[in-house]
Amino acid sequence: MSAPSWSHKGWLRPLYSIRDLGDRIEILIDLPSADEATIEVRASGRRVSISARLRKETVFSDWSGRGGEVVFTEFRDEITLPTEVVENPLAVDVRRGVVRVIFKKMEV
Amino acid sequence: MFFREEYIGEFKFVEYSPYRLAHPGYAIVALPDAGLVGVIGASHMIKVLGMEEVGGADSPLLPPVTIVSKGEIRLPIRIFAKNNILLIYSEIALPPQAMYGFSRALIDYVERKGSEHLILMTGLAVPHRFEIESLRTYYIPTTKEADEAAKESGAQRFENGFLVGPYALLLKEAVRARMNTLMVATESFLEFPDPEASARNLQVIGKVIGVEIDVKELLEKAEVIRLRARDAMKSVMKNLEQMRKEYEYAPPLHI
Repeated sequence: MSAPSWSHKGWLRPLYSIRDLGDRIEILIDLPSADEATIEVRASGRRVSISARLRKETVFSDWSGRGGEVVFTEFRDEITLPTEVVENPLAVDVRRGVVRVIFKKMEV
Repeated sequence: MFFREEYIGEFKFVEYSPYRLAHPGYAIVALPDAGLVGVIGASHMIKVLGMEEVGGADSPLLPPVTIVSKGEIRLPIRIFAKNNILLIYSEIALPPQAMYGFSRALIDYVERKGSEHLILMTGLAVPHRFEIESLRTYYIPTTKEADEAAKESGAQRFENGFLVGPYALLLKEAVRARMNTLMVATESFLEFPDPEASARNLQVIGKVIGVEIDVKELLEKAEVIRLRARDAMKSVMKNLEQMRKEYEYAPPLHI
């Protein structure tokens, strides 16, 4: 069973997808309502950490129990890539709350 | 309390109150697929048109799910109606093994409720969606009448390619049943909820059925919808992967 995509501590896990582009890896991350200035995507080996603050606190108040009383303030996640990448991304692009990050694969 | 229940194959259709569609009857189907385009659009349509929940459907082939909505127990497949429009809506991804029986049962049921046209509301996953500003909408008709109905809608006809998922089966069953059916598919993300595509899709469907659907609020609330829909989208992606949705990206060898 997968873990919920939110925490009662106020963070949300974003949706993402990974594409292998041969010598590069492309990651698309859906970060709706994120404050673009706070988006951070950091790679180390095969691990990539993602974080971003929401522009305003969000509550799903019509959802009974569970997460309905949680005030969400940020996105946070750590993902594993299929291969190691160079730490600094080749390109970072944000459009309509979707972030595209391209990393160069580490040469073996 | 159910007013009426009816079994069609392995599906049970229940009604909470008596209803029948006015003429010309349209049944719109919104099931989880690419970008949740149909589901997000349908949820908005229910709100702006003030549609009433008139029934639902369930089956032992579906996951054991109950929906609690405003304190009422509802079935996983929900049915809403207003005047000449029937909306069949599910946020729960239907397992592939349930889709064959469901397609047949659904067409049988909506025809008997006075539906003369079936509209399939969905997204058309495109791998470069991130770069697209202006979304194209395509249509696939199963009859000449359905083809005529779409001509002034602003959508273009989808001529060649693969379709994978719940709507692929519904189209095949609609052809068998000789039902006027139109699939309306707007370019969208596959893996992320795409309310912008839903808004465009609704505008086209509105033209087909002759009802103006205001999408202003849908576009204003797009970010909140994307936040809320993350878990539903994750679950649908597992289902679509099982159905080999990636076939859709392949060009067919023979046209």
